Amino acid sequence: MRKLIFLFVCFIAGMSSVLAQTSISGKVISGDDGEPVIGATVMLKGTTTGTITGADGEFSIVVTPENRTLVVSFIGMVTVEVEAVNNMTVTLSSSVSELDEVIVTAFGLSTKKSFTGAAAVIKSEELAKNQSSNITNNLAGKVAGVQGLAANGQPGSGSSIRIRGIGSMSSSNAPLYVVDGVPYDTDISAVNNADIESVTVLKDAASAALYGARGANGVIIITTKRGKGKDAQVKIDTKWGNNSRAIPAYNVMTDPGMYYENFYRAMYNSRVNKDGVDGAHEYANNYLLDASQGGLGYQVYTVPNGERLIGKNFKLNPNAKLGYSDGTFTYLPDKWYDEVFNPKNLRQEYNLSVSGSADKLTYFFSANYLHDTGIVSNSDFQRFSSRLNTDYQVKKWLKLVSNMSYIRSDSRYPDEQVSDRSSGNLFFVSNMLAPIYPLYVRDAKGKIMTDDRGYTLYDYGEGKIVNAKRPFMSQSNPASNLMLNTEKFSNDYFVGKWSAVAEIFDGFKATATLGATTANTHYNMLQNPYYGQFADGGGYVSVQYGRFYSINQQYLLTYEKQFGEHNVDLMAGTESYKFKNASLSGFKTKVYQDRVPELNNAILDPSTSSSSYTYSTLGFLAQAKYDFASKYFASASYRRDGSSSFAPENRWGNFWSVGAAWDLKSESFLDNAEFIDLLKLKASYGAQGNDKLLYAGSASINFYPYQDQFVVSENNGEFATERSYKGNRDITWETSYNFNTGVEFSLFSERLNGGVEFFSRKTVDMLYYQPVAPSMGYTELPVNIGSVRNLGVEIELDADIVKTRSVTWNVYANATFLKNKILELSPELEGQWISGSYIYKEGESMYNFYIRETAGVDELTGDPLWYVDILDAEGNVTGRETTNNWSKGTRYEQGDILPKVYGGFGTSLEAYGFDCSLEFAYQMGGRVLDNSYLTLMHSGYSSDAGRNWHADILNAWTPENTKTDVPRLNSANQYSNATSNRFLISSDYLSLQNITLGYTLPKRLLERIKIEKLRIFGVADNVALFTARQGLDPRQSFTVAYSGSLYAPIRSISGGLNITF
Amino acid sequence: MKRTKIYIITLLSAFALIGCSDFLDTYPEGGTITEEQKIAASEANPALLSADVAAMYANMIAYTGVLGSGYHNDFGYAAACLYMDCNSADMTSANIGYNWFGPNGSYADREYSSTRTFFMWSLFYKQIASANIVLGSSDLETDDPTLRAFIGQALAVRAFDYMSLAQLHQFTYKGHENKPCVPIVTEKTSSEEAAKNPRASVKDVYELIMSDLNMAVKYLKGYKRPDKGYIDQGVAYGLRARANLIMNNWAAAASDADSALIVSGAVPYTLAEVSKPAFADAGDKTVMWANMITENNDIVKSGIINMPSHLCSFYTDGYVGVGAWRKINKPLYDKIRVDDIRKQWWLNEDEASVLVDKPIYDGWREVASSDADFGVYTNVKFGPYKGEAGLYNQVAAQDWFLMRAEEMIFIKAEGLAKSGNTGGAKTLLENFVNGNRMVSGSGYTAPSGAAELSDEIWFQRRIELWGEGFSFYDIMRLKKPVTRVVDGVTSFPAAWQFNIEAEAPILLWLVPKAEIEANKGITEEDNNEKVAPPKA
Repeated sequence: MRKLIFLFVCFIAGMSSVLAQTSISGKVISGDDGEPVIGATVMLKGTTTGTITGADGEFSIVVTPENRTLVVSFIGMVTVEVEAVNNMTVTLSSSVSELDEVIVTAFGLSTKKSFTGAAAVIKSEELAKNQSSNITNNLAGKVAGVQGLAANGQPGSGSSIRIRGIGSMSSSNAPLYVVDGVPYDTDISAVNNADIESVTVLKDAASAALYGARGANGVIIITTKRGKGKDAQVKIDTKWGNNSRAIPAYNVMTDPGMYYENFYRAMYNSRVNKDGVDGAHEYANNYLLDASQGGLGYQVYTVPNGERLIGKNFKLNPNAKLGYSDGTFTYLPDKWYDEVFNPKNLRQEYNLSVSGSADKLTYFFSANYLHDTGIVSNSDFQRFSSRLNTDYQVKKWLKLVSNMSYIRSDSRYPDEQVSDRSSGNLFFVSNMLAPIYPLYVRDAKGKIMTDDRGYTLYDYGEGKIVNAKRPFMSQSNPASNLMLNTEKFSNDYFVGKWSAVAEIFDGFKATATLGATTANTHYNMLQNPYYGQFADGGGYVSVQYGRFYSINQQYLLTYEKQFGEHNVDLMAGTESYKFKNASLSGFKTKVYQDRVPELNNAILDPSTSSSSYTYSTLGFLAQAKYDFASKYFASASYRRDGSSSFAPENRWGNFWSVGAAWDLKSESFLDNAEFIDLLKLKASYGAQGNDKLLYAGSASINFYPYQDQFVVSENNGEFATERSYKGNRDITWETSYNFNTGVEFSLFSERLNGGVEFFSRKTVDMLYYQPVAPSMGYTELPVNIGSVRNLGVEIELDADIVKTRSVTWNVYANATFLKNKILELSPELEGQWISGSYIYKEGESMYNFYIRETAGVDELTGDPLWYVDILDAEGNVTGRETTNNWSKGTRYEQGDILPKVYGGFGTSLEAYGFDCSLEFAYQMGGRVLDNSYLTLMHSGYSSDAGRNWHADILNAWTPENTKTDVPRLNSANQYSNATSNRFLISSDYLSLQNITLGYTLPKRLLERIKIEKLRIFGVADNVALFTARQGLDPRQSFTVAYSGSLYAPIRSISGGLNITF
Repeated sequence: MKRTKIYIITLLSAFALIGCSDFLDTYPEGGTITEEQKIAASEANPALLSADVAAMYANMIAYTGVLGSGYHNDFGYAAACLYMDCNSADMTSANIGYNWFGPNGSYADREYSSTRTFFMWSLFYKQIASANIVLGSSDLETDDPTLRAFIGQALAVRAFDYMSLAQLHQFTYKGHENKPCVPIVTEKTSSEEAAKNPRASVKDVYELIMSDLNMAVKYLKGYKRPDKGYIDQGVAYGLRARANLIMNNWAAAASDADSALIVSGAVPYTLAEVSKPAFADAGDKTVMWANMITENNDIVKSGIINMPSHLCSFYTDGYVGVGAWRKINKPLYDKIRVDDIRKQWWLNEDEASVLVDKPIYDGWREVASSDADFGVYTNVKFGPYKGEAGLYNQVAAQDWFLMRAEEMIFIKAEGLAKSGNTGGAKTLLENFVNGNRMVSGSGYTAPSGAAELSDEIWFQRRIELWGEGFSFYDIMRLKKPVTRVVDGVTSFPAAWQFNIEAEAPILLWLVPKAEIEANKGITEEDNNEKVAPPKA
């Protein structure tokens, strides 16, 4: 490597020649503010002679009598040609053209025009519109090729971003995050949105290959703001608002009588064939309320003595009165959702920033406070952040850059609210619980009781207080848990980056960067000693500390030079990265104080554990960019990368890219087409890696996947080393080959901009877990086999339909068409692999369900039917018939379920100080398994007793209603709602992501009070979602939606002020 | 220009600095250990090799070790015992969502893609893999007594596992010798062979079991184990007695059971010892082999994912406390003589038992009876950890018995009865029951006819070994029906009130789907018959 750099240096040195004649000095200033421009390039036209301006914008250059024309350029400004005069002042004006706008790319900068790869940039103005406390929630729909999956709505939690589809089976599909040039592996919610200058999404190899081993799933580069201008500018942004639930609940039963009637019918139906009509009525009547016999457990109606609750006509006794007292307690169902969810949730956010420059220093300082209360009590996110970004010109040739931010966040994060099917999950319980159960314990007169501590007495349904037992989610009352339990996270983050940039000579620049991130996480949890699961043990305390520490070093040497019409930009360097993640945790039972979640507050069953793991990468990189007359562009990059995740003999890989672009507008034949500003063709190809193998069936990264792993456990005082993971020394990177080509255009004085790109992203040597016969004692082995391809087309359009001095109306739209296909699987799979409910088949999508197919309902019996193949003697399929035995049903592949197209569109209007914008996101052409609906369509089976029903169950088969697709209720049939294609539903959605309305006061009004800008605005996020079924949120998952059982997404509506002075 | 050179040299040396070759050698600390770390640790301290042996036993008490977190019916071999007992006619429980073993009660567990089917397969094969690791790294010809003991244990463990698998996945040995059983994986099986490994015949599986046990008995001679969690020669004899009993080698079964009792020195529980809740401490003299549970085990730490949570009525912090009480079926209970102390192992119609007829149990009864499903026929057989003190300190660290003296007595009696020595069998049984279980100390007489005596021994096994994971094996071995409802009498929940004929296809567990998908040697057609659960 060293040799290579020396060669490179010699090559460059040989090119510069010395023609010293006259020395001219001058100064470059900005036309915008009269400030010196530091780092501007001053070249003698048509030669390789040139220099760069120093700290006060000054330069000196040697000119010859024959050639006195200087070309002065600076990124983001319009290049000018001037005649050299001693003590001259050159004024550069900001480029009005977006084509010259700087975009942040891998290890450097580029302009939109010269970029050969595929990258999308989202600027601060667009990001600032959304109120999310996590930047990943702001990306969906904004640019092509980016999808976001938000599993839940807990404040502070983010979305999983997927760039250009899914390329991996068993390894992570998450992009690499880079903040200010430094890889970022901790919580992205620690970056304050208001500090972000831009987000660049690198989508292809030409843009991301320099991230080598970690770039295969795309890269998201977040760049924070820096100081601009001389005078300090102070900005204050404030917002106050309200949160509410963004999507409604499923359409479930709310009438207690209706629920009893249907459950009665389910129990009756389970017996009628065997015991006859009378016997079945007797059975249903006897056991309807008996929780230990598959019944419901609670009587909440009073019926006259000796009368039945449900009559033999399956109707609620007309004399039944809601509310039942057993002499000690009253049983009255509550509307759990209405009782618990508090609509009065304040969301508040304050941002202050000060930026400017002084002498040789530019600075950006910010402070932020955010408090988002979510929509459930005891769940919130509070963040304080502060940042200082400075640039200091130490010497003419040396600049020090320093970014430092400190963030503290405190969140109450009731874990159970984001875990599906947990009895502590309020969303799950309130969505799924039958409408017959009380939330509160009421005395004989119906008054809600309190315990002797003054706490409201909630009904846990465990039969310990009231004389009834709830079969569904017994021993739980999430409302009470939220009131009485404590669960909180505190995090401290320090993210720092320091660089020294030295202008060595004549276009050579050396940069040394050190990046460090520390995240300290502190988690405390107390489960109350009075009620629920931990009451018998006297309560439970758990404390966890986590410490994440990463260190990144980069040493880069760049050479940028113009030789006449040849522009050369070369870079070589090395990067190392290492992180260590350590945790310490302990728990104890039997607590003394009921609100102190610390270990010394408890006395029994102490348990402690701690562990850590480390990951590192090391890369050597080089890049060359070249353009001729801003007409032809070429780029190439290379990185040799090593990752600690693989065995020493398999840990090094080579990653590379080549790219080219051609601006047709610069050709003479388009000289007359004045409406064209840019017409660029581009293409790139390259290879990137992915080393993030996950543990099978988990989202945790396996950092040592090449080795067998063991757990040391205790066996009566001695060590026992049980194998927990079977490794494979031979595994290495999976490699993703990306081809990208497209056209970008800018027309009509840059009023219509857009592009079309075609991409093919092919992953080979896929890391995946080969299934192993469980009789071997383990069930999978990681291997590098197989290949998958994502083919796609991205279209982006952005038009200023009206653009006058006082009115601008813009519309934009983007669409990504994506097709995922497995090209090759491990040979021993013979073309297909069935794993759980999925089939992986060569030639088909990776997202392909393999499940039974519903054949409707048997009109005679009401039984659910499924298709089963008819086979001849040789085992060939000759047709298909139906069966009412789910186990016997044949499983069929369901085809690609991924959406065919996704994207976003929106519009904004600025007129006479008013501004207004709308943003939408959508996807179409996909399907999802609606698990919440599935569970709500049970047939009354004993383990579903007490679980609510979707209103669709009213259409169940009865002797009078035989033409239906909902099977007969039957408490003996656990398969009525077993997984089949009946529960696949369109995952199409249209979401109104954001509405913003604002008014900026006229400047002349503000001048007197020394305010530069004052804007009043209102903003609404997550405004509306249109889907195929009420309650379903297809944004949660590509495969199975649990929308009814997770923290619902939040709608936030706020008003606020932007003040600049 | 000089300055420049300095910079470049500095930069290049920086490359060299971070280019150190060990920069990429990372390792975890705590949590898991890698193979390299394990080898290094064993080289530094050879005594750690015994950790591989201990791993075999740790498999039996692994916390969600087969199915992963979220499965509260995955806590090792004791869980498998509960699967089987809930399949039987003898143990009942409420049909409620918190009863993790409800699907075993209803036979909904016999679905080949279900986690339960997978559990009943992989639990044993994981332990076989652990045994194969020990055998694969050992020289079977060694003279080193320590290593011979390791090998002997691995062989015995493997035989134990194949015996379990064989009895669950095919009908019993006699009359089914040539039926497909389970694939055989030994330390010699390569991964290629395992990927195309058909179901071996019942005969072949038992041949392996016998050869492993014969060798184990030999290798374990003289081995003094650290505690009853390990297999010694007495246990190996006991396992061979079980195998001989299944294979109907009656005399050999009786003789092995006898050797097991002699070598181990185990003696049955006395009357006094079982006149209080017991079956919790492997230190008891009756215990020959047990899962030694300590307060540090993950299953105990979990609070609710362990045997006591689902079986011991005194551990009210567990699932029993919310309704999953384990009870005896009324027809069986009714058959127990009133002067047999074992009638007190379950609460009677008045929810009373002499075992808990002391003031110290009042607090427990108050907590327990606040649950509506607690009551008549609830077991009080399995006692709390640390005896009565455990009533207050709810810790679920009771040991789980795998073999005890009473079972050996029953094997010996059955072996004698069926090999023609009914007199000897009758005397042995009467001496045990009168001496150890009859409150009066006498009055029990066993029938004299061979068939009646054999059935009596089965009845004795059903009540003595209730809840210990033997009932289902006995049904299969003796080709008995599952009779939950006797003349209309039963205490099973309504939905589970059915009887199953002897050797009905539903009794067999299926080869799990995952095995069929990854093992080319077993096709869908090779599986046992898929049948719907019986209807009440």
